[in-house]
Amino acid sequence: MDMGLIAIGAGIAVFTGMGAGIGMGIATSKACEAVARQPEATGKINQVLLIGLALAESTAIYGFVISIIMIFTMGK
Amino acid sequence: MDIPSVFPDKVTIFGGWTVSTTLIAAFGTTLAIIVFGLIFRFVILKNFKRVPKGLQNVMELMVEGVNKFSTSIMGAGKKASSIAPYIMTIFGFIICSGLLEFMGIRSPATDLDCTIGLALITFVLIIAYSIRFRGVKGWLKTYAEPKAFMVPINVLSSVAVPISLACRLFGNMFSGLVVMDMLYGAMGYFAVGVPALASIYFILFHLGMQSYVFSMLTMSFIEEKA
Amino acid sequence: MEINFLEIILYIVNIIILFFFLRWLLYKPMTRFLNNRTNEIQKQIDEAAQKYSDAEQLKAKYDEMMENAQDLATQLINKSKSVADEQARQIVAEAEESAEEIRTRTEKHIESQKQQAVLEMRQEVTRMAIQIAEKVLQREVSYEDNKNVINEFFEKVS
Repeated sequence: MDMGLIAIGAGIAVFTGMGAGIGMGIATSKACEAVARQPEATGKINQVLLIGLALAESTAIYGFVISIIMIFTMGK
Repeated sequence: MDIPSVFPDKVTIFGGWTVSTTLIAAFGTTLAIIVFGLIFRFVILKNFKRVPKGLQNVMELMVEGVNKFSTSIMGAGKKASSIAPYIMTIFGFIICSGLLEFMGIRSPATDLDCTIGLALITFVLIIAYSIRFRGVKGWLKTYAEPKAFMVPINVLSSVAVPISLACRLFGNMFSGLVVMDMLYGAMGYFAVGVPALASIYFILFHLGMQSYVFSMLTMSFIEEKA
Repeated sequence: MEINFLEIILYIVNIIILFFFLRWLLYKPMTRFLNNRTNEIQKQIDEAAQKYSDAEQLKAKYDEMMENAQDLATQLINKSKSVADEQARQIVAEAEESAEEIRTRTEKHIESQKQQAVLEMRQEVTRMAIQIAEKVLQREVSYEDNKNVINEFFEKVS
């Protein structure tokens, strides 16, 4: 297959990172608000935020994995 | 500059066998942990005192942390106490094998086969716990919730669990590897200090985070179904 | 794109081996060790609480005994005091009695002595009077007469 088309496809797949980034930004802003409202719960909020970020990040990671797999398996 | 391949390098051992280097690393990690366990069980544990100190503190913290972690998600009881050693295994395996990356050996978690294996174990465990605590009928009934027409969606989502687990762990670990390789490639001969700092985030932090997320998701899926 | 099923199975085997070894070597002994220690500490705490309550009980008992002892002591003192008073009174009474006895006896004795003395004196005086009379009269007077005279005299005197 044409390597240029594969590269374009891989680039589109990595666009999932945009959604993940927006999601992570919203989560972080909410966490900031929560900390400002209740500074004594910072530890708990941090923990939940980190788990949430890791889960949101995995969306971007799926796109990354797909693009990498596209490049490595189709390009051969 | 070359990006590391999704598929790890192959080596030939024992004449005809062709295996990937990550598999060897995984078995090496297991062997090392077992050797440490043997030494711990038969030499160190004998010298344990009632007042903890040094290594004893670390081990107590580890076991108690795993116990607390499992009971915080699955509730106190038989489920949590039976899953705790498996959680400890996942943590030990992923973190110990991930630390190999500091020595320049590719971690097994950056191999798709390894993460698929781990996810399959989780998949089997979910079904096993469901059958163990609900019976075969109860397990089959979980697919018909809340209504019978939901069966295909439920089956699909239960199959999606191991795939998403495998891809999440693999993607995170592999992205860390790729970023580190890119950093080394970009800095060329000036790669002093900065990659070490970056590797703390991309290897240590990702490692801890992802093993935590993996075990937490494993337990919450089991808790949900069991 | 290829997923190597043999390697997946080998990884799974690897994890299972690790799981059983970790459970045998690390998890179970550590859990047993921690549980033993927890039980031991719990037992010690219980024992301490038990001992504390025992001591508390003992103390209450001793306090009660101490109060009782004070009561007993005052009682004893009162009793012995009354006994001593009684004895003292008895002794005084006895002494008074014996003194009385001695006095009466002495009085009696004195009385009898006095009477005897009077008697003796009377005889002596009689005899002396007779002698005096004999000497004064220097004459033969019958004893009977003298006696009569003297008796008369005494009757006058007494």
